Amino acid sequence: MDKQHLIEELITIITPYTEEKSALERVGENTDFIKDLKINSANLVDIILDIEEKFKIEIDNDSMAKMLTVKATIEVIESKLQANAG
Amino acid sequence: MLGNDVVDLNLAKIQSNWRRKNYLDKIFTGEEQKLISLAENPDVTVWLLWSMKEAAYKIHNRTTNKRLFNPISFQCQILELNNKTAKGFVKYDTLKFLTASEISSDFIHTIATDNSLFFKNLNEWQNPYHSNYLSLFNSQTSGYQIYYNESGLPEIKNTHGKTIHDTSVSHHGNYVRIVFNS
Repeated sequence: MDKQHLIEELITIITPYTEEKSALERVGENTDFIKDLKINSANLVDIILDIEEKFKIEIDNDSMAKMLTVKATIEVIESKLQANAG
Repeated sequence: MLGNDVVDLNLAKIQSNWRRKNYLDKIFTGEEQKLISLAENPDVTVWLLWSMKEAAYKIHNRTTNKRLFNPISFQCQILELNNKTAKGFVKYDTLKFLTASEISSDFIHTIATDNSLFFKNLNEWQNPYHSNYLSLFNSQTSGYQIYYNESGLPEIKNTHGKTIHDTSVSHHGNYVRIVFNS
Protein backbone atom coordinates (compact mmCIF):
# COMPACT_ATOMS: atom_id res chain seq x y z
CA MET A 1 0.00 0.00 0.00
CA ASP A 2 1.56 3.34 -0.94
CA LYS A 3 1.71 6.34 1.36
CA GLN A 4 -1.04 8.32 -0.39
CA HIS A 5 -3.38 5.36 -0.13
CA LEU A 6 -2.52 4.98 3.58
CA ILE A 7 -3.30 8.66 4.19
CA GLU A 8 -6.66 8.26 2.45
CA GLU A 9 -7.51 5.23 4.58
CA LEU A 10 -6.49 7.19 7.66
CA ILE A 11 -8.71 10.14 6.72
CA THR A 12 -11.67 7.75 6.40
CA ILE A 13 -10.93 6.50 9.91
CA ILE A 14 -10.58 9.93 11.55
CA THR A 15 -13.53 11.62 9.83
CA PRO A 16 -16.21 10.59 12.36
CA TYR A 17 -14.12 11.91 15.25
CA THR A 18 -13.56 15.49 14.10
CA GLU A 19 -15.95 18.40 13.85
CA GLU A 20 -13.39 20.36 11.83
CA LYS A 21 -14.69 18.95 8.54
CA SER A 22 -13.07 21.79 6.58
CA ALA A 23 -9.66 20.97 8.09
CA LEU A 24 -10.08 17.42 6.76
CA GLU A 25 -9.76 18.75 3.23
CA ARG A 26 -6.29 20.06 4.04
CA VAL A 27 -4.96 16.96 5.79
CA GLY A 28 -1.30 16.33 5.06
CA GLU A 29 1.59 14.59 6.76
CA ASN A 30 2.01 17.39 9.29
CA THR A 31 -1.62 17.49 10.38
CA ASP A 32 -1.93 17.17 14.16
CA PHE A 33 -5.00 15.24 15.38
CA ILE A 34 -5.54 17.38 18.46
CA LYS A 35 -4.28 20.82 17.42
CA ASP A 36 -5.54 20.87 13.81
CA LEU A 37 -8.49 18.51 13.83
CA LYS A 38 -9.59 19.20 17.44
CA ILE A 39 -10.02 15.51 18.09
CA ASN A 40 -10.87 14.71 21.69
CA SER A 41 -8.04 12.73 23.31
CA ALA A 42 -10.48 10.01 24.44
CA ASN A 43 -11.35 9.53 20.75
CA LEU A 44 -7.67 9.07 19.86
CA VAL A 45 -8.09 5.67 21.49
CA ASP A 46 -10.90 4.88 19.03
CA ILE A 47 -8.69 5.92 16.14
CA ILE A 48 -5.91 3.60 17.35
CA LEU A 49 -8.41 0.71 17.69
CA ASP A 50 -9.90 1.44 14.25
CA ILE A 51 -6.39 1.39 12.76
CA GLU A 52 -5.62 -1.95 14.44
CA GLU A 53 -8.82 -3.44 13.03
CA LYS A 54 -8.50 -1.95 9.55
CA PHE A 55 -4.85 -2.91 9.01
CA LYS A 56 -4.89 -6.06 11.17
CA ILE A 57 -1.94 -4.85 13.20
CA GLU A 58 -1.25 -4.55 16.91
CA ILE A 59 -0.11 -1.18 18.21
CA ASP A 60 2.06 -1.34 21.34
CA ASN A 61 2.05 1.43 23.95
CA ASP A 62 5.34 2.99 22.81
CA SER A 63 4.07 3.29 19.24
CA MET A 64 0.71 4.64 20.40
CA ALA A 65 2.50 7.35 22.39
CA LYS A 66 3.82 8.86 19.13
CA MET A 67 0.55 8.82 17.20
CA LEU A 68 -0.43 12.49 17.47
CA THR A 69 0.16 13.43 13.84
CA VAL A 70 -0.63 11.92 10.44
CA LYS A 71 3.09 11.51 9.73
CA ALA A 72 3.87 9.60 12.94
CA THR A 73 0.75 7.46 12.52
CA ILE A 74 1.63 6.50 8.94
CA GLU A 75 5.14 5.58 10.11
CA VAL A 76 3.75 3.30 12.80
CA ILE A 77 1.30 1.64 10.37
CA GLU A 78 4.05 1.14 7.77
CA SER A 79 6.46 -0.40 10.25
CA LYS A 80 3.81 -2.74 11.70
CA LEU A 81 2.68 -3.83 8.23
CA GLN A 82 6.29 -4.50 7.32
CA ALA A 83 6.80 -6.55 10.48
CA ASN A 84 3.67 -8.56 9.64
CA ALA A 85 4.88 -9.21 6.10
CA GLY A 86 8.35 -10.24 7.26
CA MET B 1 2.43 23.73 38.67
CA LEU B 2 -1.26 23.12 38.03
CA GLY B 3 -3.15 20.99 35.53
CA ASN B 4 -6.89 20.49 35.23
CA ASP B 5 -9.36 18.52 33.15
CA VAL B 6 -13.12 18.70 32.93
CA VAL B 7 -15.28 15.95 31.42
CA ASP B 8 -18.85 16.69 30.35
CA LEU B 9 -20.40 13.33 31.26
CA ASN B 10 -23.37 13.74 28.94
CA LEU B 11 -21.08 14.47 26.00
CA ALA B 12 -18.67 11.66 26.97
CA LYS B 13 -21.60 9.26 26.83
CA ILE B 14 -22.19 10.16 23.18
CA GLN B 15 -18.55 10.70 22.17
CA SER B 16 -16.90 7.64 23.64
CA ASN B 17 -17.87 4.03 24.04
CA TRP B 18 -15.37 2.82 26.63
CA ARG B 19 -17.05 -0.59 26.61
CA ARG B 20 -15.65 -1.14 23.13
CA LYS B 21 -13.34 -4.18 22.94
CA ASN B 22 -9.73 -3.35 23.94
CA TYR B 23 -10.57 0.29 24.71
CA LEU B 24 -9.77 0.08 28.43
CA ASP B 25 -6.60 -1.97 27.80
CA LYS B 26 -5.13 0.91 25.81
CA ILE B 27 -5.45 3.52 28.53
CA PHE B 28 -5.87 1.90 31.93
CA THR B 29 -3.56 -0.36 33.96
CA GLY B 30 -4.82 -3.69 35.27
CA GLU B 31 -5.34 -2.14 38.69
CA GLU B 32 -7.37 0.75 37.25
CA GLN B 33 -9.50 -1.67 35.22
CA LYS B 34 -10.20 -3.58 38.41
CA LEU B 35 -11.46 -0.37 40.06
CA ILE B 36 -13.75 0.18 37.07
CA SER B 37 -15.13 -3.36 37.09
CA LEU B 38 -15.84 -3.22 40.83
CA ALA B 39 -17.34 0.28 40.74
CA GLU B 40 -20.95 0.97 41.59
CA ASN B 41 -21.00 3.50 38.76
CA PRO B 42 -18.36 2.43 36.22
CA ASP B 43 -19.00 5.47 33.96
CA VAL B 44 -18.00 7.82 36.75
CA THR B 45 -14.92 5.77 37.59
CA VAL B 46 -13.78 5.66 33.94
CA TRP B 47 -14.03 9.44 33.53
CA LEU B 48 -12.66 10.19 36.99
CA LEU B 49 -9.52 8.17 36.23
CA TRP B 50 -9.30 9.69 32.77
CA SER B 51 -9.55 13.27 34.08
CA MET B 52 -6.86 12.48 36.70
CA LYS B 53 -4.55 11.25 33.94
CA GLU B 54 -5.28 14.26 31.70
CA ALA B 55 -4.76 16.79 34.50
CA ALA B 56 -1.42 15.19 35.43
CA TYR B 57 -0.42 14.93 31.76
CA LYS B 58 -0.90 18.69 31.34
CA ILE B 59 1.65 19.42 34.06
CA HIS B 60 4.11 16.90 32.66
CA ASN B 61 3.64 18.25 29.15
CA ARG B 62 4.32 21.81 30.31
CA THR B 63 7.38 20.87 32.35
CA THR B 64 9.02 18.71 29.70
CA ASN B 65 7.58 20.27 26.53
CA LYS B 66 7.11 16.71 25.28
CA ARG B 67 3.86 15.64 23.65
CA LEU B 68 3.05 11.95 23.91
CA PHE B 69 -0.19 9.99 23.90
CA ASN B 70 0.63 7.61 26.73
CA PRO B 71 -2.26 7.64 29.20
CA ILE B 72 -1.44 4.13 30.44
CA SER B 73 1.88 5.43 31.82
CA PHE B 74 0.02 7.78 34.15
CA GLN B 75 -1.02 5.46 36.97
CA CYS B 76 -3.84 6.52 39.24
CA GLN B 77 -4.49 5.77 42.88
CA ILE B 78 -7.75 6.88 44.45
CA LEU B 79 -7.35 7.57 48.17
CA GLU B 80 -10.78 8.97 49.00
CA LEU B 81 -13.98 8.76 47.02
CA ASN B 82 -17.56 9.76 47.74
CA ASN B 83 -20.34 10.81 45.41
CA LYS B 84 -19.19 14.46 45.34
CA THR B 85 -15.39 14.45 45.57
CA ALA B 86 -12.34 12.29 45.11
CA LYS B 87 -8.74 12.62 46.20
CA GLY B 88 -5.79 10.69 44.92
CA PHE B 89 -2.53 10.83 43.05
CA VAL B 90 -1.08 9.96 39.67
CA LYS B 91 2.34 8.43 39.26
CA TYR B 92 4.48 8.82 36.16
CA ASP B 93 7.90 7.19 36.36
CA THR B 94 9.34 8.70 39.52
CA LEU B 95 7.00 11.70 39.52
CA LYS B 96 3.89 12.00 41.64
CA PHE B 97 1.00 14.40 41.08
CA LEU B 98 -1.67 14.99 43.71
CA THR B 99 -5.26 15.24 42.50
CA ALA B 100 -8.54 16.61 43.81
CA SER B 101 -11.74 15.97 41.86
CA GLU B 102 -15.26 17.30 41.93
CA ILE B 103 -17.94 14.84 40.85
CA SER B 104 -21.52 15.57 39.83
CA SER B 105 -24.04 13.73 37.70
CA ASP B 106 -23.17 16.03 34.77
CA PHE B 107 -19.43 16.57 34.95
CA ILE B 108 -16.15 15.58 36.59
CA HIS B 109 -13.40 18.13 37.17
CA THR B 110 -9.94 17.17 38.38
CA ILE B 111 -7.15 19.51 39.46
CA ALA B 112 -3.63 18.08 39.67
CA THR B 113 -0.48 19.58 41.10
CA ASP B 114 3.14 18.61 41.52
CA ASN B 115 3.35 20.55 44.78
CA SER B 116 0.65 20.36 47.44
CA LEU B 117 1.32 24.01 48.36
CA PHE B 118 -0.49 24.94 45.16
CA PHE B 119 -3.74 23.68 46.63
CA LYS B 120 -3.49 26.36 49.33
CA ASN B 121 -4.11 29.47 47.22
CA LEU B 122 -6.16 27.83 44.56
CA ASN B 123 -8.78 29.77 42.65
CA GLU B 124 -11.31 28.14 40.41
CA TRP B 125 -13.40 29.92 37.81
CA GLN B 126 -16.33 28.13 36.25
CA ASN B 127 -18.83 29.04 33.65
CA PRO B 128 -21.09 27.33 31.14
CA TYR B 129 -18.99 27.05 27.99
CA HIS B 130 -19.05 30.00 25.64
CA SER B 131 -16.51 30.60 22.87
CA ASN B 132 -15.48 33.94 24.41
CA TYR B 133 -14.78 32.44 27.85
CA LEU B 134 -11.38 34.15 28.10
CA SER B 135 -12.91 37.63 27.92
CA LEU B 136 -15.67 36.51 30.30
CA PHE B 137 -12.99 35.41 32.75
CA ASN B 138 -11.20 38.75 32.40
CA SER B 139 -14.35 40.78 32.97
CA GLN B 140 -15.51 38.65 35.93
CA THR B 141 -12.19 38.18 37.74
CA SER B 142 -10.99 41.51 39.03
CA GLY B 143 -7.24 41.93 39.35
CA TYR B 144 -6.35 39.05 37.02
CA GLN B 145 -6.03 38.80 33.26
CA ILE B 146 -5.68 35.57 31.32
CA TYR B 147 -3.95 35.32 27.94
CA TYR B 148 -2.02 32.80 25.85
CA ASN B 149 1.75 33.26 25.76
CA GLU B 150 4.12 32.82 22.78
CA SER B 151 4.29 29.06 23.34
CA GLY B 152 0.50 28.86 23.13
CA LEU B 153 0.12 28.20 26.85
CA PRO B 154 -2.29 30.04 29.13
CA GLU B 155 -0.90 32.47 31.73
CA ILE B 156 -2.52 34.74 34.26
CA LYS B 157 -1.15 38.13 35.19
CA ASN B 158 -1.98 40.00 38.35
CA THR B 159 -2.86 43.43 36.98
CA HIS B 160 -1.60 45.24 40.10
CA GLY B 161 1.65 43.50 40.98
CA LYS B 162 2.26 42.34 37.39
CA THR B 163 3.19 38.91 38.74
CA ILE B 164 2.61 35.91 36.48
CA HIS B 165 0.56 33.10 37.97
CA ASP B 166 0.40 29.45 37.16
CA THR B 167 -2.86 28.45 35.47
CA SER B 168 -4.59 25.64 33.61
CA VAL B 169 -7.65 25.78 31.37
CA SER B 170 -9.96 22.94 30.41
CA HIS B 171 -13.05 22.84 28.22
CA HIS B 172 -15.29 19.93 27.25
CA GLY B 173 -18.87 20.15 26.01
CA ASN B 174 -20.88 22.55 28.15
CA TYR B 175 -18.16 23.14 30.71
CA VAL B 176 -15.13 25.37 31.06
CA ARG B 177 -12.90 25.51 34.12
CA ILE B 178 -9.94 27.79 34.76
CA VAL B 179 -7.76 27.18 37.83
CA PHE B 180 -4.94 29.43 39.02
CA ASN B 181 -2.86 30.30 42.03
CA SER B 182 -3.20 33.69 43.60
